[in-house]
Amino acid sequence: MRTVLLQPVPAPGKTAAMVLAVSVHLALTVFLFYGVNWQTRPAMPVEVELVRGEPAPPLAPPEEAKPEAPAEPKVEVTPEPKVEPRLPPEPPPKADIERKVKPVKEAPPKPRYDPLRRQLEDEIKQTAERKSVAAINQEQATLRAARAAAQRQRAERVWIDRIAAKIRSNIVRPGNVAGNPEAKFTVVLLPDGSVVGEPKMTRSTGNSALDAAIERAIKKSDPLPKPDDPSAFQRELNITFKPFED
Amino acid sequence: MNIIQDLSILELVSNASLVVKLILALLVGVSFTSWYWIFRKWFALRDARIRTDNFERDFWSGGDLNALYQSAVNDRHSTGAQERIFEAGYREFIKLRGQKALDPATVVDGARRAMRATYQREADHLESHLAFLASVGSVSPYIGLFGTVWGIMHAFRGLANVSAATLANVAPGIAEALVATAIGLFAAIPAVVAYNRYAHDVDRISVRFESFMEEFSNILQRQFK
Repeated sequence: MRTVLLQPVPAPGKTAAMVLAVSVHLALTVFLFYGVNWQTRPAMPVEVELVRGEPAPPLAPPEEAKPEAPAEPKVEVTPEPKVEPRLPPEPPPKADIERKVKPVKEAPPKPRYDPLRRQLEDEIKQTAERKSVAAINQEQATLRAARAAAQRQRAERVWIDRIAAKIRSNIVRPGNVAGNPEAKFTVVLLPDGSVVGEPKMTRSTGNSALDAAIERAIKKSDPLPKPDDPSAFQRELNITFKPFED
Repeated sequence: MNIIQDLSILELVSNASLVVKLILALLVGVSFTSWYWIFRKWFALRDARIRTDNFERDFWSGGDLNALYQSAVNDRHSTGAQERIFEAGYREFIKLRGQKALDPATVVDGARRAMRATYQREADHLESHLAFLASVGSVSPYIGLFGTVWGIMHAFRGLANVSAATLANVAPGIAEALVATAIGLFAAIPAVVAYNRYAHDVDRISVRFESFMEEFSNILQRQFK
């Protein structure tokens, strides 16, 4: 009889043990990830910025209609709908008209809107043949571009006003200022509103203490407010300060 | 200074210092290994218990010793520890009984020595890696504590640069540091529980093997009459 060394047989379950160990640690990770999430977020003070000069932001829509009313309606009402009969699968212009028509015909109340519109469409049909679609499209494009540019300019003005207001609120005025001198600063901004480098003074107030105070205020106001319309952002801004402008 | 802190676990770990990160990595590795062995020993001990139960039932049901021995030899790779002890003892017994010159006491002693050798190997195998679990259980809290102490030192050193020291300056650092202790305890607690449980299980199985050896020696002794 042959003598065999009776070795212990290694127990099975290597992979099972490995899988279970991995799953235990995954469970722990998930638990830690979702369980431990302490947030020390104090109640944020509400910041209110009072902007004077352009009462635009809250009253934007009506203002949009009014100044353009003399120029736009005539051009817009006649040519734009012409697209409708010819190119029915272009809903955006139609929507545009509906929105635009309303403010123009401010006087008629709602029920009278429909007949008016039908009449308008008849007129349109008559004039439709006279103008080519290409010309209309071009006209529309230039119009739209002009409107967008105007809007951006307005947004930019509002934004610069907000920046100036914020900085002005941070100016600690030195006592010996005579009159209401004006200073101009050029500030370089990042898209998040933070100031890059030092603000450059392009025109002094003539009072070095006041200049320094304005510069300190600019740094203190960092980051500056962002524009509501991101397209109005500009990297370099010229800001004019009249410290006693309130 | 920005007081708003978002203390998710990822932020805590990623903001920790290098030493704390290394300690965390070490602890995660240790914890993983210890869990691996916890599960393996659990399977192994359960397996050993089931096989011992089965073999004892077969053995005490009064079957023929030769038939039991044959079946143990034939499927040696799927036998349990007790079956191997039986096989070693019975094989030695058959060998020695063939030599007419030996008296029964010597034959039974030889069989018992063979069984004891196999038993010791089996017990050693069952106990293997339990010492690792014991080490993890006793040492990893200290490793975690070291990481915490280091992290807190780090957090306080940051205070030197701040003019007005507030709790907000150190709190994130301390929270970071305490993660090390948490992971250390997570590694240690299961290891200690498993070690105590498995040491107890191994003791009980060993007692069963030893009593089986004694009883089987008696049976072999009776074969001579």
